[in-house]
Amino acid sequence: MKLISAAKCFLILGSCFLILSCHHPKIVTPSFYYWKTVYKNNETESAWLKHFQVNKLYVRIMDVDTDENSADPVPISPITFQNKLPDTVAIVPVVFIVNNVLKPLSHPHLDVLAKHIAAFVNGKVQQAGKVSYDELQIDCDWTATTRDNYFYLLNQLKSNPGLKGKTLSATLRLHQLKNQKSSGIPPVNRAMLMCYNMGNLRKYGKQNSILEISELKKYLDHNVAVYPMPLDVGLPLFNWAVAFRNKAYAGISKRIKFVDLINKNQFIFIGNNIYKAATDLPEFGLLKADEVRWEDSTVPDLEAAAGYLSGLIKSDKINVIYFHLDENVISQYKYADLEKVDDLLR
Amino acid sequence: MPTLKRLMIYCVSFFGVFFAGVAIDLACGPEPDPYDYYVTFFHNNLQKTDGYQPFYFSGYTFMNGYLVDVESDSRSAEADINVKEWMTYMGRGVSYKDVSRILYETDRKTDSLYLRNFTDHNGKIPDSLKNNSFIKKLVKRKNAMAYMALSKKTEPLISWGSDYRWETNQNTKSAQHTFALKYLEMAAKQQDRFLKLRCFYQAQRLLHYSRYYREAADLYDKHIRNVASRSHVKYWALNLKAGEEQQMGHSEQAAYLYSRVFALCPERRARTYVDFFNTKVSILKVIKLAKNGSEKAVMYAIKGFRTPGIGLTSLKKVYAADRRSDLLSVLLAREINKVEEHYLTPRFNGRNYFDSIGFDGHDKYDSVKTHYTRYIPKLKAFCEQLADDHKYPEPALGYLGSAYLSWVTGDTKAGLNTLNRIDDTGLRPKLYDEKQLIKLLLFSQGITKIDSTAENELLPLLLWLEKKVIQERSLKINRSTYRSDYDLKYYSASARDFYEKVLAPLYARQRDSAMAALCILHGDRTILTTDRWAHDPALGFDMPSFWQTAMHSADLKKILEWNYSTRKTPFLKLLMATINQPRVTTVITMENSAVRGYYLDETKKSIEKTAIPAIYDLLGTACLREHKYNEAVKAFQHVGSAKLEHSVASAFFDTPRYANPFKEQLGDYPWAYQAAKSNKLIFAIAMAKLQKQIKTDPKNAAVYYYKMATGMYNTSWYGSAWYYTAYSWSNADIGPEAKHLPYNGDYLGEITAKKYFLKARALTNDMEFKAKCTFMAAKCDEKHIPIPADYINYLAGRRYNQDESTPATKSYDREVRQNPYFKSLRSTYSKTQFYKLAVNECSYFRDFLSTK
Repeated sequence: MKLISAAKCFLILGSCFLILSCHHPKIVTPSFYYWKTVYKNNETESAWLKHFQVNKLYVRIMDVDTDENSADPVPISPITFQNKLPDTVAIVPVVFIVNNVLKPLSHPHLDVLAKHIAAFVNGKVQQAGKVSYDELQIDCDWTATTRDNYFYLLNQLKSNPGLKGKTLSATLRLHQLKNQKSSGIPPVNRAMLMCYNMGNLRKYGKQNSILEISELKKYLDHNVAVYPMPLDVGLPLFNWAVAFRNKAYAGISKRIKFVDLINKNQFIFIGNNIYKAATDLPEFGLLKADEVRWEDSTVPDLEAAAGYLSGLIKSDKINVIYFHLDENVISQYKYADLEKVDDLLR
Repeated sequence: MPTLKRLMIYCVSFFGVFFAGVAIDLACGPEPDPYDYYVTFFHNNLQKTDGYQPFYFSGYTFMNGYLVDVESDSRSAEADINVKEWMTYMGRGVSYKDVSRILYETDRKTDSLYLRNFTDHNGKIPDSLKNNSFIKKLVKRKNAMAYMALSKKTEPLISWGSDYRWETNQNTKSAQHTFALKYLEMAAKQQDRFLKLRCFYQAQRLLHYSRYYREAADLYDKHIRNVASRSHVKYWALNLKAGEEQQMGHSEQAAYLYSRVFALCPERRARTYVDFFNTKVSILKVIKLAKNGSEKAVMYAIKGFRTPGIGLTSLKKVYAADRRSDLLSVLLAREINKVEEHYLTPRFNGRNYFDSIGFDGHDKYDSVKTHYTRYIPKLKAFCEQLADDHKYPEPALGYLGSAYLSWVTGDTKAGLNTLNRIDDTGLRPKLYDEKQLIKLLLFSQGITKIDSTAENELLPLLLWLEKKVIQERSLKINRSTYRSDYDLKYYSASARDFYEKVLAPLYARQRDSAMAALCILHGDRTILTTDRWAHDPALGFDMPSFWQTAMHSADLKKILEWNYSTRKTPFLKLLMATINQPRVTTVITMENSAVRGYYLDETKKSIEKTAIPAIYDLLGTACLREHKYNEAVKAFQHVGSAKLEHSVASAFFDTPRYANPFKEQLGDYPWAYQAAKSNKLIFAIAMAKLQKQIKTDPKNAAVYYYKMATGMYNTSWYGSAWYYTAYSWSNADIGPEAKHLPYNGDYLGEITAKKYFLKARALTNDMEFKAKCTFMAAKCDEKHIPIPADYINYLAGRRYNQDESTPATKSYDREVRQNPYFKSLRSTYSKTQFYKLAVNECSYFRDFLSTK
């Protein structure tokens, strides 16, 4: 309730500010991540793209991880396109690099990796039915130990002839924003601030590790204003069930849906967002008395985050990218929900 | 009363110490080897043919939990077979290494620039292959080289290398099909049977992976199925065929074919086992496709390998289907191994053993035991049937199983009678060795008193076992894949368990610690290589727990005397040899490098020639525990200060620092250390001197007693120099769960220290000094109050302002505040300066004063 009030407060204050200062509202461009391994047109997903006039889609091209046999970095589960992307929607290829891949690589290896990534992305973009693209996004949870190699790789990508004239962007996790000294600033044109997966997932408690405004504030605050490049905003649209056994983290149970938790034959609600297994539930991998924390990206939380972020981002254009475009995920929201969130960012 | 209490504490159950030691060793060890976490003497590799290792029983994880690893092993095995087939084909003068290099290890450049594009015109062999015996012969055999060049072109279309994975245009279907046709063309022209089979196989592979399943299957039927060849390529093709049937929806036929590949092709066994079940076909349906009993037996066995619980169904079905099947031996070993895991192991290692290694589901030992008690006779009856029917080609296996189960159930006589029925003529070596092992177990079980007669009776079998252990020392272990030192060293593991769990307890039962200890050490050192962290303290710290905790100085002296004696019985000679057996230690250091991050370095090796310094360290330590300081000095002198200092200073601290055992402090914590070197020898010398001064300078005896008591206190569990009298320190050492050790009276109870503080008080007139002695006596006295089980939990709760108190914790808290010596402090010494100091320092004392 408090968060909703806070969001409303931002809305009201924002509106007042608009009237008093003749402030031009920011231009908010919504978009989505497409994070599945097969691209195919889907009626609901297309309707959302159309409704929000989305003109670019951030499409995960592949993960880059170490090959078990050769120990070389290789594409893992690259996307395949069963359909082409709509003509009105541009592609922003996104490449997720597993952080540990970077650790052992020497500069010559990184040179090769950059070439491989550029060529692979270009190939996949063609398969998506696009002649070219304007932006390539690299997603990596880099750390102090991989920073130098990661930044070297980014520089190699920037100077790759295949990427000439294209924007190179990188995802920015909250810890990387906050610890700018140790994390460094990636040599890219813009960054996408991932405003999700912020709390302690493994810790027992009532927190929401996907999105919690109090956590967000711990990381952002003045750090956003001083970040030396344009920031896009990533917001979550997903949920999951986190299982605990004897108050110790047991894993994320993908099979549990919210509707299962409210089935009283299966779970007992014990307060906040926590449910206890009423009996052994082998279909979910749970034993009696195991506890499940339901974590969700609720509309009030998204509104609160948007209201908070709006004040921090000084740019008059904000790209907001929702994670992620999937019928099962988006069907839990209404158009108006995201319109409101976009409004709050303005 | 103190004497009685002391005696009570000292007279602990010998077995308690013995088994606690074993359990602690196991509990604190690394993750158990999936095939060496339960006690086993019935070896799982008794079958005639190899290749069943993934199906040996492990309740820990099936196939070790890693199909990927098993498959990786299978890939190596397949490559090995392929290389050998090529070697045979090429004839003499071609080395394994060179064939393997060309088939599997050439780099991309060599493949693409030379091999893939090989023609007669670019025939110049690249420098890197100039001396390769295989390629030199290959270029002269046009057809073979053409096949090789084609396979180098097509292999990336099937086995994707990391480079190929970066190609986005992986729509290889048409390329695969095109090349399949090329292989067919090549096969049609080919007269050479070796190459012809391979061409068809390659064509089938390409059709298979380009999803032309019907065509691939037809190709197999037409060109491969009836080829008379011993090449494993035929089995690999059959495996493809099975997949093709599955893809075409013929699941029953697919399952049947998978079972055939399982039977015929060890390198594909793990894969086809998984594939068999992936067809999701009921075995009742597949069994109908079996052409004979042997094929049926394979299917029943596959099902049996999937059964983690006990049961004779699969064994009986396999036996009924094919009484000669070698799979019976694998299944039988599995059943006996299950008995060992659930029934035998908790008997040896204690019922809490499985809990202690983090192995769930073993908490109902009593019901498990009943269950197994009923099962074992049935299993034994099956073993006897296997033996007596004389249908199974090796009836000895049945007798061995039966005799072993007799040992497990304690029926020595029946076991020996069964063993006697085995005809040694033509007995396979593996079965003969198993017989020897079971005989050793049965002989040992029959011993009521272990004396020289019994030892002599055991000796020939022990010497046989020793020989087996020595043979295993030369076994090469692949360090990148091995899981424990005992990987594949069956007799070393059995010897270890026999000495520790069977023979040592016989001596322990007769309270012969020295012999029990020798047995344990002999078992512990079946493998003479060990890994050790660079900072590990060595000396006594390296010895088995029993040596560290259960032995008195007399026992250790006896062992040293035997060592120097020239008149050892052959039995003692065998055990004593361990002490002077050199052991190679690989010293592992962990480095932190800016470039590589944390990494382990294992390059340093050291050879420990003898365990004698370690035994002197243990002897000195035992003497300290027994307050025989002059003897401790003599023992430690054999070790030397440098080793003693290194042994502890490097073990527990980042930078060398040393405890000061004579440091006076009112509170137990924080433990104070000093940079100046100190060691057990220096301490023993000082204590011996004080002991002497008590007699030679009685006027100052109070001071000497006080100092000695301080030394004892600081070398107990509560002091910073605890490692002078113990070899490990843990919070679990105290409290109701603590193990009972012979030296706990002083180490945990401060009995002698208290006595000496009180003697010091009695011998002085100085009121300040008396007050100090009284306070220290109070501290010692407090250690006698039993700590309740839930006290740790209560303390943890207090840290978070949560009241976790229970009646027991409240009672303990009350008792420590009602220390009888506090009364004496208040009534007699309240005017002293020390009294003020004690009030300031000790909250228990303040609480005591405030409540009265």
